[in-house]
Amino acid sequence: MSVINKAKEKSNYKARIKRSLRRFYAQRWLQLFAILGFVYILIFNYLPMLGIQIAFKSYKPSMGFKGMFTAPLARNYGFYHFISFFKDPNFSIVMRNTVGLSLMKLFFSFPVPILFALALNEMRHIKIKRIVQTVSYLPHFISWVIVYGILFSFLNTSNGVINSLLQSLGKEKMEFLTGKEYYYTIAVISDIWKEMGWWSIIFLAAISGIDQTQYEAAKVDGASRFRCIWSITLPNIKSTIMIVLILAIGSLIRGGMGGSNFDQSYLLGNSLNYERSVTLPYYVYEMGLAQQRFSYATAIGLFQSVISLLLVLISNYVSDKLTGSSLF
Amino acid sequence: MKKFTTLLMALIICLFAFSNALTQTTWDSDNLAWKQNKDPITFSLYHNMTWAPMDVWGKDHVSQRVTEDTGISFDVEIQSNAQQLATYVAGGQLPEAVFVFGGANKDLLENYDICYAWDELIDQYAPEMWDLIDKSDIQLATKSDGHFYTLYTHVRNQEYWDDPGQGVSYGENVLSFRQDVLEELGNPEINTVDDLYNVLKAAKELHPEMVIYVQPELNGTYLSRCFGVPYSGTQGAATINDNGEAEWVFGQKDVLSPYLEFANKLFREGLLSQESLTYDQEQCKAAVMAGNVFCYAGQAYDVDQWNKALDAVDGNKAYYVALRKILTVDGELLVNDTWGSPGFAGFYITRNCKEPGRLIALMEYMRSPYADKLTQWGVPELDYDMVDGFPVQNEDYSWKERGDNVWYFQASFAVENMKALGTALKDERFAQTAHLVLDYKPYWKYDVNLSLIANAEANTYEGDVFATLDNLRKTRMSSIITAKTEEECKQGIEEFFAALDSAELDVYNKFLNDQYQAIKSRNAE
Repeated sequence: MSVINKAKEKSNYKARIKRSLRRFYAQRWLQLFAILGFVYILIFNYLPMLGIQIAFKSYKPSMGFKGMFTAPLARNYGFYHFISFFKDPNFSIVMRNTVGLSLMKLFFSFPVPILFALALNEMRHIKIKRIVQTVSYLPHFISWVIVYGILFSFLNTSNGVINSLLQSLGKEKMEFLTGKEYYYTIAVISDIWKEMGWWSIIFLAAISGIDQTQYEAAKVDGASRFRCIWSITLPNIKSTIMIVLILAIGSLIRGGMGGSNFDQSYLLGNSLNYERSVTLPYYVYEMGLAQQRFSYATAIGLFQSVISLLLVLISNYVSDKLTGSSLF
Repeated sequence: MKKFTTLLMALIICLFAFSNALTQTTWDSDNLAWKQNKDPITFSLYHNMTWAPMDVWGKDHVSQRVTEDTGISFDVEIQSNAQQLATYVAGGQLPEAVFVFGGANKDLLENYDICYAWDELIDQYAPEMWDLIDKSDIQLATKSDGHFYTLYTHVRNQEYWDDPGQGVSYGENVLSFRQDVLEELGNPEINTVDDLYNVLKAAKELHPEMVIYVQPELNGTYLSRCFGVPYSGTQGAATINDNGEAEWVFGQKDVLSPYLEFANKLFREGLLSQESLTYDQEQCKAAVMAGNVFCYAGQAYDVDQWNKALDAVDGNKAYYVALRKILTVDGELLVNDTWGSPGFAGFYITRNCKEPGRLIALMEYMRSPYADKLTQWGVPELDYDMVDGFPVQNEDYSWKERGDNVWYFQASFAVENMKALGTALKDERFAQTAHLVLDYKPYWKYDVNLSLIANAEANTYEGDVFATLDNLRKTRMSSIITAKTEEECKQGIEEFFAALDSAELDVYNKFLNDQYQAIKSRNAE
């Protein structure tokens, strides 16, 4: 009997394989798209993870590709670079700026696209609505280098627009680009200006999916516009808001939704506002890559990634418990 | 018989010496390696002279002439970011030839597994080249493994230094003033830093709308040098303290503090532009070109170049005169510049090169006086003419068309300086460089031992220490200068040096001094 059962099992198994293959063949073109995407992620996202091991080694560029595997283990059982980073004189200001600036961007930048989407949704004139929407997300396509050029022409002390205006009004010039007291403000405002329109698209898309009969019913009951927004629009896009929030928290170290911490530190940062402008992504570049300390840069980058992962997991869990919405 | 034997011996010796003289290799000898094979060949080349106006070989006069003479062309790639070379090395993707400046880049390439050692290539492909190379250049470039992987450009050896006709680099950092404003102030004497302070203050009272003093981050070291902070071409460089020990240039508190306090005083009184402390050369130039700057720190060469550019502007009144001296502090000349001529750039033949013999032959060509002048001055009678022994450039061709000072793979300092002096001959109004390079020479001391100290290698313990120290220097000094009060400035100084100490400045100083003492003993033998 057992022999017959085994034979039956084997033939069932073969039949299942055949069926799967037939199904696969029937969807071959779709599967090809999926496979291409999978291969892309495998090559550019997973394979490079092999390089993480150099965070625990004393790797030098002259060791080449093989050096990833053959480089000796770093001191302190491989944790030398992590310990060096924690002992670095700039560690506290790097972490303070990264967390502080990112939280400010989250606090100020996150609600703005939502409010903007709500306001756009209330516009009745379709043509103007479209123009405003298009103009609002154009800055997203401008690189931070161009944005810096714009900021420089407005804010520099020699012949900047703002300072020229101040001078003509008899006021003292202000060192916007070098004064450390201005950095956070300029970083947050420029981030909002650049990304607000782009992120509002997601919320507009969510709003457009709301059942219009709810609004009609609310109007019949005498609800005002603000009442409709509060009671219908916001609850219906709550899950979208939570998912975007989880993603933003996951990118907190990089600078939240815009992920602009590195670009702003690199372009707007200088020796005078360094105390406020240096952030973790920039520090990876400055003290790691620019000094050819690949192992050190990888260690800081790994530290950054671990923190981001923890933030995603925690925010996903909290969101799931509080609102029932989660990424996974 | 004895007399006959002696005469015969003397004749043989004379004949031997004569024949040796006949076969002694010179730059014109026919047996030079580069003359033996002029078949066309193209090599890949990477360089980081990002200021070059062209990025292709063969479109300018110089590269066309080099190809005509040697048959060699290059497929050129210019650096797009500072980490590119390290990435190429790590990925095993180096081109066949690399021409770079910068200590970190040189350290990366001077490795037997990555680049061919020139001594081995010369032995194999161009042995006559040994007769043509200055031994001090070889000594300067030889690494601890006994090989040298390049010969550096723009080396200034003792012979150069002793020549009274040769001056310092035309990149010498100087201080320049608006001549018309100085005249309004009565052309005051500026001999001390206090005189400087008084002149800046008077200029501010006269012209409150002007930017009084611009001190850029790059090339803005004039003031610090007045206080004895040594100029250093590489920020890891060493100076010698009173005990004869080598130590890091920026680790000397008793030297750096007076400078920082004085600069802070200038800042607090509105005389030093805060924004200018972050300027690079282009930004400094833009500020000066805007016509509203009274005084700026910059390179000697830029004084003439920027005056020329200002002269071309309609209605411009600005003309800058450079100070032809270093200022004293409390009656004392504190300047402490020591230059050991470590050279500027290096040309490396990587292990990916299939025909290293052709490239080492090219280097032999490049080291010749003819090619030295070609690559730094241009094609004779086309790009320049000789006037009183100096090259005066032909203005009919742009830099992009001439191609000088780009493909200068084995350039010498003396030839470079002659060009600056030649430029000065065209118009006396733009000839300050010619005087400045000689005026500032007496302030420099020459110490070859100091120049032979190697930088701390990246990814070593000392390298990590230096990275932290240099970061502190870059980020804290500007903040100290821009402190709002004198007390804040002094506190910043204390904190800065405390931070240097806790970042193991003593480890880095020991690293520098150990090398210095070893080099001193070796050279004394």
